[in-house]
Amino acid sequence: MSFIVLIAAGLLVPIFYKNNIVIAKLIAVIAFIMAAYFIFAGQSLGSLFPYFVADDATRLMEFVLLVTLAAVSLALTGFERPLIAQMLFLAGASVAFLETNNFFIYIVLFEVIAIISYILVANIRNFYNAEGAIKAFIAGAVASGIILLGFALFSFSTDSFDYASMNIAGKYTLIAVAIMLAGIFYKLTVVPMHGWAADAYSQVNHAAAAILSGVIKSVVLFATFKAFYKFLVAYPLATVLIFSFFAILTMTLANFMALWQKRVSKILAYSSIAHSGYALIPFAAAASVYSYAGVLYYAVAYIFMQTSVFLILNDLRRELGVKYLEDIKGLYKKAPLHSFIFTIQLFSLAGIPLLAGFLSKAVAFYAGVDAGLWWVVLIALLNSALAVGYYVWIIKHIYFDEPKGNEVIQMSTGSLIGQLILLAGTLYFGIVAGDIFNATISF
Amino acid sequence: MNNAVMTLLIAPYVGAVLAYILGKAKRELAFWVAEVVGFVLFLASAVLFLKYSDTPIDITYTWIHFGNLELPFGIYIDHLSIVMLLVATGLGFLDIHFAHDYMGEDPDQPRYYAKVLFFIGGMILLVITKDLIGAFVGWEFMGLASYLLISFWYFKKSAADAGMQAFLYTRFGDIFILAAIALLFFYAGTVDLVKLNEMANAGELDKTLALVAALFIFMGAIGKSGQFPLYPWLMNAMEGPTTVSALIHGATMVNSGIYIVARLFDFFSYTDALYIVANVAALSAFIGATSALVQKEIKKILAYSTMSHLSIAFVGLGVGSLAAGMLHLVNHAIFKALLFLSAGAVIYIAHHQKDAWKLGGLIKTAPFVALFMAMGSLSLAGVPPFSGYFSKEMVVAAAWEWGNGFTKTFVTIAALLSIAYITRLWILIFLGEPRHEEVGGSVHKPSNIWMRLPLGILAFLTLFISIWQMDIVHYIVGEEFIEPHVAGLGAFMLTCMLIIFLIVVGLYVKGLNLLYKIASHHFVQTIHQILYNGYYVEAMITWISKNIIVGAVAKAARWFDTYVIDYIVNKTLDFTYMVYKVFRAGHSGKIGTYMGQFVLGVAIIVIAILIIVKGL
Repeated sequence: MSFIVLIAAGLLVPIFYKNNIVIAKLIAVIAFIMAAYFIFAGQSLGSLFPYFVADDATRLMEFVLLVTLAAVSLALTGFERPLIAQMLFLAGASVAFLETNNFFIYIVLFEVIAIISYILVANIRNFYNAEGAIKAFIAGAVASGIILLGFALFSFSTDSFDYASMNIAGKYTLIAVAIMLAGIFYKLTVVPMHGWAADAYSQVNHAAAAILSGVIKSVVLFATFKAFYKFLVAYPLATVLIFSFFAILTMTLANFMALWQKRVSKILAYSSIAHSGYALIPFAAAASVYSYAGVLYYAVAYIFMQTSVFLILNDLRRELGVKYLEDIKGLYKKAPLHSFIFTIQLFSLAGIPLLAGFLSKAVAFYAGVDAGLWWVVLIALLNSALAVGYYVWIIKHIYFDEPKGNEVIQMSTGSLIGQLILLAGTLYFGIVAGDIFNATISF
Repeated sequence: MNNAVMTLLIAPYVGAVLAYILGKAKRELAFWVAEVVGFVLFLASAVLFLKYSDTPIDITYTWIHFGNLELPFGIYIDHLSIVMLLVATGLGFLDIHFAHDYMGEDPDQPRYYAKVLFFIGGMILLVITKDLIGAFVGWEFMGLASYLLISFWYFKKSAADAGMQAFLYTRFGDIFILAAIALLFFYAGTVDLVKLNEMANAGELDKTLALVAALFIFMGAIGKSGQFPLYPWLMNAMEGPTTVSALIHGATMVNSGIYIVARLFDFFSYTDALYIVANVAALSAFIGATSALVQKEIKKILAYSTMSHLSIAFVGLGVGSLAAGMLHLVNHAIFKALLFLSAGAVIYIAHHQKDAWKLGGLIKTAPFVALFMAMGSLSLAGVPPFSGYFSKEMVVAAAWEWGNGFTKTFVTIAALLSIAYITRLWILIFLGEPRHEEVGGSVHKPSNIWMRLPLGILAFLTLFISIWQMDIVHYIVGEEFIEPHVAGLGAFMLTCMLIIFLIVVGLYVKGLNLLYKIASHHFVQTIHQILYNGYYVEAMITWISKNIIVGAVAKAARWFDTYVIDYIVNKTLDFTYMVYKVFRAGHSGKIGTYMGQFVLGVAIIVIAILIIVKGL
């Protein structure tokens, strides 16, 4: 049901949004809430189509995704209105993507989401937007090709694409999986497939970047873990080596890069890349029983905080023209509410306790230690410490420097509600961990 | 039933946020939000009290369960909790009510009420939680709130310092609680307060472990309840608004230490920890009572009396009578709140003059306050039929029956001396002629609803709760309660008190000249100095922390920090920049470069796989 509601709303919204954005937003929010309700009530796509199964963890992820998208659509204004319809389609595709238990459908929906993301970033207003969009598109195209290459290789050796019954002992399977992973790493912005992301996230419209870096990445992270779980467990040596290597490489490079950036959006872009590095740790630790909880927790926590910071940056850029660290000096005087929420979400990204970012890291790292990868976790911890450097640096600019101008901005109601929803998510999953553990217990 | 529990858990914090936000919009709203929330909290406690069936409310909830790590967060409400809840929320509500006028002129009311509600919330959390972890959270909430409230007038240096001092002193105790939690978590396998008692009763705990854990917990209680040697903060906490003092000293914070020992009473009695509790408490009671004799400021006298009376309650627990200790805690909470609020009224009337020697003759201008304060004083002094008499009598009797010589002697002296300092205070404030020109002139008139009503309620309570003393005891400890009985103790106490009373009245009403003469003697002055400065414990602690901790340890750490850590940190900066420059080379912004890297990445994976496959 939720799938149908989302797609129907997605078709309906374009009729309204040219003339009346309020109705369009309303439809979108209602659709998201209805879809979330259906998922909460336990209905999955599986009741309509074969190849879709939703376990508790998937439903939790879908619920979080829909709530986040509802929050985003509330926060949108002005020329970001085309995003509303695109988000509805994205939500529909993501619900299917998360629920599928068929590798073929996984690949198809991965492409669908990739295409939606190109359309998302194609909301071009200036030269920078265009540059970012083109980079995302070209990188995505190359990645798609590589994924299909890998998939073709894989399909030689298996006669079923069902996650449970596919043949993973084929001659080319390992190579095929490696090639597919390389393509998927592009979406997860794993170094060295990250180049496009650092630029695209900071150059495209920040609202689109919020969806791109927050929502889509979390969804891909979670669905990919489910799709590849069988391979990860079957080839422990390759899994540990590849994922540990890329996890370490990604977080280290991204953190060092973020440390010296002057553009706020660029810092957030690199922080997003660094988080991909941490999120790979539970992949490497697939052998541990906590890996599923680690991935789910990371996806859930990350979706709230990353989306929130980019949306706030979007507001700040629109109202105050914020681009560089210089521009957010003394921000708390100009925009106290923005500053406050921004700070909390940054703390969450940095992994301060009682916020979702902390527990997600804790669980993911715990899974790593449980699988015996303490050396990866140690490096990740050092990296986390390094990362606090640039998050706090932003906060220092906000609270401890004198502002240049004296204009004061208010947060719009829609934006405020949206931000409060995201903040509630960050706080809730920072304090209550039971939901996620219970959801992943059956895995 | 559960609605009441949820209300108690959540309402204080919601109220605190609301009071602050609405108060920012319109200042009066802050008070009204606090008043309503305070009343709702009291109502919720009352509902729990009335609807309580025979079994305790026991809600277990696992906060985090992951791997072999399990952090519980449970709610456990039995009679003891309900008594504490009624004290905390009831007195808290009256305190908020009283603040309407007392804090009426303060521009920072939203901040004040938000902090007060947060404070009450911390106390509630402490008394209804089932585990040491939850209790510790509530404990720390209160520590934070007390810091914020004591330094409420943060622009005054003394207030800011006092807040910091309260925080540091109580924190010092808290470290031990944390250590106790860790010890129990690892060695006893549980931090469940109820289960710890059960294990102690069944004799399943290792004696040494239990003793160490109990003593560590008692260290925390020493910090929070102002026992020797961590009491100086209690006196300096008087820098906060008087309503805050009433809240800290009457309704909430200082009771928490006694509560935690009472909650773990079986656990404490399992080991010999109670013996130490009794002795430390008796010493503290003596120190508090003697120091209270010579203080000048109204609030300082009351603060030392708080210390002394809390210690008396602790002695009750320490000699093995849970009933006596808890009864005295309840009675003390009521009359101390009354005394502090009366003192607040006096201070309000007298234009914030706090020096008792500069007041005087206020009975003419504020007869009602004088009456109410007299009732509170009589209760504190332990004069029948006021409630203080019964509980104090019970504690002293228990000490005589079960305590050792040291405990017996000191707690009796402390109990007897309370009539001396409180009579002295009352006489100085209300009798004689005004000794200061400000007080003699115009005074604030206390309003009926906002000031006299809460005082009246409390005065009424402290008198009439005497009727239910035995009911309270039975409510807390159950029916099988052995009342300590020492023949002739009551008569002895009352006679001594009468003699002391007459001496004090004689000296302060009739013989001020004689008093001056005595006081000018060199030897008396020395004693006076020692008592006035609270036996120089604060100076000693300051000396230790200044010379040993700051002077030696901190200096060494600083040297290490400056020359080793800083050097490394500074070099790190250069290092990160170097790394950044290397990495940056790959980020030209050209899509071609990125695609090159992409291919490189693919190549790495494929080659790695090939090597692995070959290796396999």
